[in-house]
Amino acid sequence: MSRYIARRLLSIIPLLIAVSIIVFAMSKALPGDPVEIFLRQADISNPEIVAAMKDKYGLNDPLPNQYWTWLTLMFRGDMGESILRGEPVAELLFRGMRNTFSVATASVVLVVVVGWTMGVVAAVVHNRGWHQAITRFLAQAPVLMLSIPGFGIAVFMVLAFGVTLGWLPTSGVSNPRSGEDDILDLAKHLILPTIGLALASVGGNWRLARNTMIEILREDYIRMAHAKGLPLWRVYFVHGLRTTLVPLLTSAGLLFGSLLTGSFILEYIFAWPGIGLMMVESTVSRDVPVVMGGTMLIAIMYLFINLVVDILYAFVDPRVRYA
Amino acid sequence: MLSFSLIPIILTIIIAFAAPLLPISDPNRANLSVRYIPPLSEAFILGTDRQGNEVVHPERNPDLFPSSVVERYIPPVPKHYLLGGDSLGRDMLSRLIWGSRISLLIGIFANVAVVMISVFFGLLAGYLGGRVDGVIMRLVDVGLAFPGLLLALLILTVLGPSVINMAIAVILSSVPLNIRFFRGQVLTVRNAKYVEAARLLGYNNLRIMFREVLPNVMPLVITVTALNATSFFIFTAGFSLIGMGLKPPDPDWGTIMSDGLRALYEAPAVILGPTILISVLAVCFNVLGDEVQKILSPRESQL
Amino acid sequence: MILRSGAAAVAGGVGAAALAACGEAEVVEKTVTVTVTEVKEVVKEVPVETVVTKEVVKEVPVETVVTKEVIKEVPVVEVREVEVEKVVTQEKVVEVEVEKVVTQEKVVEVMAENPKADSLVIALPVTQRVDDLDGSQVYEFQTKIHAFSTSESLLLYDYQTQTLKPRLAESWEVAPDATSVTFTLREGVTWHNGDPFTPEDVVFNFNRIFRDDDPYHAEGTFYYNGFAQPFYDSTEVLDARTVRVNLNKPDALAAEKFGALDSSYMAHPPSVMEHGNREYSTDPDKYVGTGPYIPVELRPAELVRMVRNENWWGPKPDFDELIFRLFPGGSAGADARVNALLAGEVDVALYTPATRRNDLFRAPGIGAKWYPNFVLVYFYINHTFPLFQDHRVRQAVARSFDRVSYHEATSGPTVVPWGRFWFPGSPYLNDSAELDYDPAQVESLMQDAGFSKGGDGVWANGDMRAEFKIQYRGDPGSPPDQETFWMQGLNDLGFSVELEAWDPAIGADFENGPYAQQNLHVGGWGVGVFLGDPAFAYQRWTAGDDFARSYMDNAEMNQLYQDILVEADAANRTAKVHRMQEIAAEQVAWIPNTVATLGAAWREEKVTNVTSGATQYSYPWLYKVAPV
Repeated sequence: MSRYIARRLLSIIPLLIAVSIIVFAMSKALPGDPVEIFLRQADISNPEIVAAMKDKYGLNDPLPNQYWTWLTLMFRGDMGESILRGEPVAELLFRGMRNTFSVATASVVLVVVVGWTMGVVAAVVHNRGWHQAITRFLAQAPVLMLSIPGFGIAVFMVLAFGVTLGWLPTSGVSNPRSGEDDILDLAKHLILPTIGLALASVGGNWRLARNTMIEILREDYIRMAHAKGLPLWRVYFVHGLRTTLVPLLTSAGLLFGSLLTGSFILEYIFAWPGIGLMMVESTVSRDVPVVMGGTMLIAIMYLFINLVVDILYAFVDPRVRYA
Repeated sequence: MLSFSLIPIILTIIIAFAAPLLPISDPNRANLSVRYIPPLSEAFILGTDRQGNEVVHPERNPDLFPSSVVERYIPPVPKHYLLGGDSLGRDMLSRLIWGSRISLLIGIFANVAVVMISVFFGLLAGYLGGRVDGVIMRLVDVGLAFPGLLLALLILTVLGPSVINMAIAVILSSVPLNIRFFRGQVLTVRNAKYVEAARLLGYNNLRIMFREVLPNVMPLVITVTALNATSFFIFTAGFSLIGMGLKPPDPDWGTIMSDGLRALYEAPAVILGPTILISVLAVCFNVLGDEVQKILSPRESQL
Repeated sequence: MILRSGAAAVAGGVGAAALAACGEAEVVEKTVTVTVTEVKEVVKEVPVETVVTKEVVKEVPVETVVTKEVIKEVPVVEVREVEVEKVVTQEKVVEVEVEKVVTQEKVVEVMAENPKADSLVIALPVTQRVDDLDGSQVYEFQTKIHAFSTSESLLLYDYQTQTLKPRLAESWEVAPDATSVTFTLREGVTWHNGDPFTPEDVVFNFNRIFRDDDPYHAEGTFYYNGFAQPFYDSTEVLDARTVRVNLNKPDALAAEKFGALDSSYMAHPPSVMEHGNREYSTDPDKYVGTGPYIPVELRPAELVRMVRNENWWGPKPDFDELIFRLFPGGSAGADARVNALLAGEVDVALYTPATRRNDLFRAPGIGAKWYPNFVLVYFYINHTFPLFQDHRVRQAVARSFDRVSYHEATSGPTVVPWGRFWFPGSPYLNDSAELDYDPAQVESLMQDAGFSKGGDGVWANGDMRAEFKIQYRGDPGSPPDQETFWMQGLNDLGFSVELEAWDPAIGADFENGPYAQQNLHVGGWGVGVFLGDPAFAYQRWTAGDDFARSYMDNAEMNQLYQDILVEADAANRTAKVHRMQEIAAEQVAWIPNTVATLGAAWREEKVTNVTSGATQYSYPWLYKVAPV
């Protein structure tokens, strides 16, 4: 097992190099000069200042040198300084990532709890041949969830539960009046963004869980289990569910990876200071160090989450280890 | 079910193609007098301006206009705003219809391109395996490591906003995930008995890939295409929201959605139009995918 | 928002003027109504009080004084809640004025008697540098608002009265030849850590702010420095309370520029030297200022928390705790601010969007105030573009924009559509220099310029067709309704106009980008009129500065500008500025238009004294300006 993990870890290295080259090339391909954009926004046109700032950010060196400097610095944890905000990129990204992480985690939990449960229930209902209407509803409800844009629901919820009823906070990550970093306070602030963010994924996973489980319940070993006279719950929830979990796990891993990108629309609506908003603002205003650092960070996290999913896979399914 | 889901899709496509022939007003014609007019409202054409454009007002009273605007008064003619007006009083019905041309282009044609590319590489990687698989999947991993929206945003920033570039951004950012998915599906049928049989018969790989393997993953291809369509619509809406959409004032559903998002609290009807349309189409695509899957896969049809 | 960064900062500065002007007008009006109804009751119920009233009448206008007594003795019967608040506001003003007759110390006492305890949460949009505590390092207007509660300048420009007021300096004097300005510092001012505020501190700060080669030069001060820095020579200490700023060329506005300029904020020299500008400004533990509130917590992009400075030189600040909650910029952030206010999560929301005005007006317990913003957002016309070389064509383009219809429909009472070059109430306002919508005149101007309409209805003069682009700044979430509307208006009047998005990245490329001279047609850029300073506007309408893209150059204009710098006489200055505006209207260097809205909305039970929404100039509910 440890050899497998080591092998998988090593396989990430070339990927990281490839990603870093693309990130670097992309940052160079962005139109416009970040220093000039910044200075223009600050109403400065003095060529000396422009030159000095370019020197400061190493923008006058040859490209390979710039790449190498950037790469080595980055692996030492120094992603440079945000041109726009003048603070270290690492701090900036950590801050954004922390906020995105909480809502992404909550979303995955919601997806697992609601999406998977409903999917499994739907499959069992289908398998037992219950009333047609219930079966249909459980099959089509996730499609509807998938089809409604999350931000529409989000805004509706803000108006209903935040403004009108006053049950939940409308925006932000904390209530400055409630005192220190209160877990309960954060949880309250998480509810609406999480629902908005996770709605489509709940639908997707519901659907996936249902379809997978239906497939699996038709497998021979399940018939065998039935034939052996095992109790129904054991057939469904031990034999059936265990195999169903494999693709679901991948799906959840992928989902978590993609949620860590942050959803800038929802972050806009909920004034959530996450990484999505930060990346979009940085890209639009060409804050290149943040764009580069952020893209790398997201890529690295994504690769590692995939790695963890793969390793979990190997635990669940021994065949993978020797493939 | 099949025809129920097909009708709205085909209808939308026909209307999109026929937009120039339909008796609808110019989608870009602003008319502040009917700004955010609610759906199903009645406004009146009270005259024409110097250029012969209609001057419209929610009320029947011609005196409401400064004489500098109205060149020729006519007896008030009612004009119905079926879907209301937007922030500049532009006809939402007309904007939705014209917008469907661009949105369908992205949602259907870019989608088809995505699926074709992904199926091709997914087949190559999944069926041939070995080094081909290794190379393709490493590239896919690299692609996947970039968050889709951010990648698309970067592409659009580099290339500049336009319909074609938006399509390129959407294609490039969603192809890796699709390849990965199709490869997985190909892997499941790769060692099926009928594939073995074809191999024993001495068919070449190309033939086996496209004649034996592909038809068996086809139902999933349809399903995925349907799912893609939904996310592409929402994807493009996101771009319009951050000012990376298409060139204003030409409408697409994404632009209309982002217009609506700005006026959410003042005129919720603006965002409802495209949202409902996208949702309905998405449901249709999903149902269509399921139905096709049932037809193509006999086992599934027992469901 | 069309305005961003620099533009926004400048715009904001001017916005305050608008706020002030409008706020003032409204309060006065309402006070009068209340007074008239209540005077009789006073006579009926509290005859004793009338004696007092009579005495004071000599000092202050009658109606204001009566207001004070009425509120104290008689329950207000028919007045709406909002008006009650207004009256209370007025009451305080009166108190100040009445007490002022007696002694200065008493004013402070009176105010200290009823400080509003507890906290105030203010919702702000965040922008680039969200975390600055030091006023001299902030970039943008929104950021300044909390920096202005912690740090202070020598003087204060009061937009309500359009005069300078003392702050850290008690008095000031510009030399007759306008080559130096002398400030006399207030006695007893201390830094947050107890150090006394000295003339040496001023020298350190002025060198730091206005000298690029200073080792502690503060980055981030450039917005306003462009107007002061070229004039700055040195600062010297005259005695224990006096400093003199020497200029290298005359400037009649020296006191405003060096005393009240938004960047002339005093930083604590030992702290700056020890921690450097950046840490000093971003870490509450390292920050030391003089302001009425002391920062205690700063969570970037989330909140800034401050507590009352008990040792502030002025009246006791109103709140124990001041919290600025930070929201994203853009329309979604604005909606979020309004939602938070409606839900009671914040007490004050600034920069509330016009689209939510109905929600705010309808909500119980919410006071909303809309301030017409006299930030003129200008559309520049490139004079070197062949079509625009004739000034009549430029005038025709300017007069094709139906601002009134547009703003009435979109923003209603929140925006004043303005086609002149200065805001109402400005001493420089020139009513005759206007560029209002006038289709008939467009027609005749174009005909005078030798154009006639071709078969396609587009003006043409030989080979030259009236074809051009309106270049707009694409901004997240804001497809430009205004430009779209204007484009259509122009097309209706026989022009052939297209919109072109302006990419912030390539826009900075002045050689080849869209704002390069050869590519620019008509472009929008937000600019304000800072302190009513003609110099500011002049820089925008002449060539030679990257920021001004009108490429306009005019010998008479240049001369007038040189003249007003040394013109000490206010009336003469005004006359010269009027002449400059006339030239601008004739030549149409840029097209003035008011677009931005500043609004403040607040929960009434929490804030009773909001008269404006923006800067320290008009922040009376946070801390009161010391009486002159």
